[in-house]
Amino acid sequence: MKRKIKVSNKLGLHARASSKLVNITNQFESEIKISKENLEIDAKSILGILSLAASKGTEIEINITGNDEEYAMKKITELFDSKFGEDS
Amino acid sequence: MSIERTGIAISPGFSVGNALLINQAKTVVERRKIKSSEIVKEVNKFQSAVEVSKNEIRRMKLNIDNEYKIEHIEILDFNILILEDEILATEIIELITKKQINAEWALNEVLTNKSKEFAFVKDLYMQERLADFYYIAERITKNLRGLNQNFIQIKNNTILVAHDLSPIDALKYCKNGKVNGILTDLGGTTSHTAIIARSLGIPTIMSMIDISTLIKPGQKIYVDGYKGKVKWKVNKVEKDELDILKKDYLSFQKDLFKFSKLSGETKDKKTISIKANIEISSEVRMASKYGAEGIGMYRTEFLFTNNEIFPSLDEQFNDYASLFDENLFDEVTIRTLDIGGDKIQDYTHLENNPALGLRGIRYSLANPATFKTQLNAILKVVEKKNKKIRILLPMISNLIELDKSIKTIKEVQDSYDIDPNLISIGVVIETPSAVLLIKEICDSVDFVSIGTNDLIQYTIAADRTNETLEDIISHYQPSVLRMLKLIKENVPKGTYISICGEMANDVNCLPLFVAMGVRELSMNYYSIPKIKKVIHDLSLKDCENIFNQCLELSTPKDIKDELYNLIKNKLPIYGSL
Repeated sequence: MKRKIKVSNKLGLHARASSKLVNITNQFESEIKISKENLEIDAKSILGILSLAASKGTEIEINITGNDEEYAMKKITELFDSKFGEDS
Repeated sequence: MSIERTGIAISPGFSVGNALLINQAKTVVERRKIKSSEIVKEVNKFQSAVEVSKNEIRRMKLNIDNEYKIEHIEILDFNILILEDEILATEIIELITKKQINAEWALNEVLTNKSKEFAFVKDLYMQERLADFYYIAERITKNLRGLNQNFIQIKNNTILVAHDLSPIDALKYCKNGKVNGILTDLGGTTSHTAIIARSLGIPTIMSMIDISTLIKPGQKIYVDGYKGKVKWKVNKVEKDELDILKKDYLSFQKDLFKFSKLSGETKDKKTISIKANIEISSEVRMASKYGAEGIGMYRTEFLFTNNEIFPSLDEQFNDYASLFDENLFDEVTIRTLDIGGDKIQDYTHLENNPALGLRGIRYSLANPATFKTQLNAILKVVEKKNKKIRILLPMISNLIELDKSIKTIKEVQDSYDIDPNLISIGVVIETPSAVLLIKEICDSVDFVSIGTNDLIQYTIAADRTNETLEDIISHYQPSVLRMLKLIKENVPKGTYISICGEMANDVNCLPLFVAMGVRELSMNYYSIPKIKKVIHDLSLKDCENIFNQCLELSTPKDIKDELYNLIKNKLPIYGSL
């Protein structure tokens, strides 16, 4: 399943946000990819996420395939929606 | 077909040897081919090093207890995530397996590539994360070594190939005489590594951009340090040509030895003393062989930075005393510690802008114990050997520093029984400030020595180790000439002026110094013969004329051409060599 999400936290997918994202993606069996423009990366890799260099306002697409894809998508969306807990 | 690459000729000479690739960020990494039977072992070694690194960071996490605890732990977690990253591990293991290279190199290569990817990222916050990648690489590398102490063995006829090489490492690798060539991607003419390479007589070419990625370990390479050219994969015909070239260079060297016997006298009998700059005390033999009439500057930094701790009074005494071994010279000049700038090493504290920081005399005055130990060692040599030593003070930029330094010297001198004539004090004129104060400085000291390297750097405000500024930081800049003119016009009559920077060994500049009335030129010993040869064909009148003409010119190129026109016929066979 796919979903488009806008990065809305102030600092974008920087080190701390990437760390949080990786900690979540690694809890799932499904294959999780994130793409930005033509670049697609493995969302279970901190390096992959950092190399996206997704700053605030960037539109990314999350693509999950596997048994637990729905729950994974839910958790990931929540994380983005919470702005990685940094703006609260 | 052979492959040829050109860079900046740093140190002359012609040599053939086998490439040893070293990579130096902070730790030096060697690229090594491994046998297919060693792959599994190498991969295990890498994985254990990662585990050890992870455990180290985890332990660190437990010990954090400060007001930034949460932030610090987050940073450490980020580092652990890098270590746990599957993609990273897979890429590294793949490189080890497929290319059969050692783990250290594979790690270095992958992380270097990753950091290049991030370098394009404009977001500053992201860019700053780059540092973490370097630290991680450092940590794993250290642990790889901890598991398998594998120090680099230097074989005979080695050509060092590196992205960059620090002066200390250059010295470390080259000291046993097995290295006969150095090639680096970065670096420029006046870097300290360049100075070291020249002082050791090792053919060296720098600013070769990507040479460290082109050459394979063990590759047979021809290094032409005269022209800054490198060749490899040569065929039979080319090999024969290169052998002829080598012979030509050898006969050129023979001529140089003939010239080395000359005196430093102009056509109209003006005498200039031609001396050598040295980095290591044992260089006195080479200096004498090339015709040096004295040691115009012994830079003492390497004595200090070669070891973990500064040398003791006795160690320094033995080192300085050895300058008089074999009675090659009656007088030597010792420059007091000029630590700082690009010579700074990790054990000294880091400054944002070391070239403008606590260096030279500033460091010595701020660390009086270090300064006094050095002065004691120098004065003890004068007392015991009854020989003349000139003390040269670096980086003086104001009269208070000068006053304090002279007072300290006198104070130390009081405890020795020395004929005062055996000691003289000089100042390196290397800051624009010192140029402006030249009159007052000369009133307090016995001689001045113009340190052109730093004077140029500070006049033009351009970092001399930044190879992209190589064109700007030319000693042919009109502003550099104006500096020389200022000195010429403002020194009290009869002042003993020496030139001790790289500019002294550029034959083109020789007429400028003759015109200035300098009494001494001190240079890398290998340049002495050609300078002696050319000086014999110059007259004061010609030199004064050309100095004035050059002052009218507005670009470095025009000035260089003007000077070269006067010189080119004096060195007919070898032109610009």
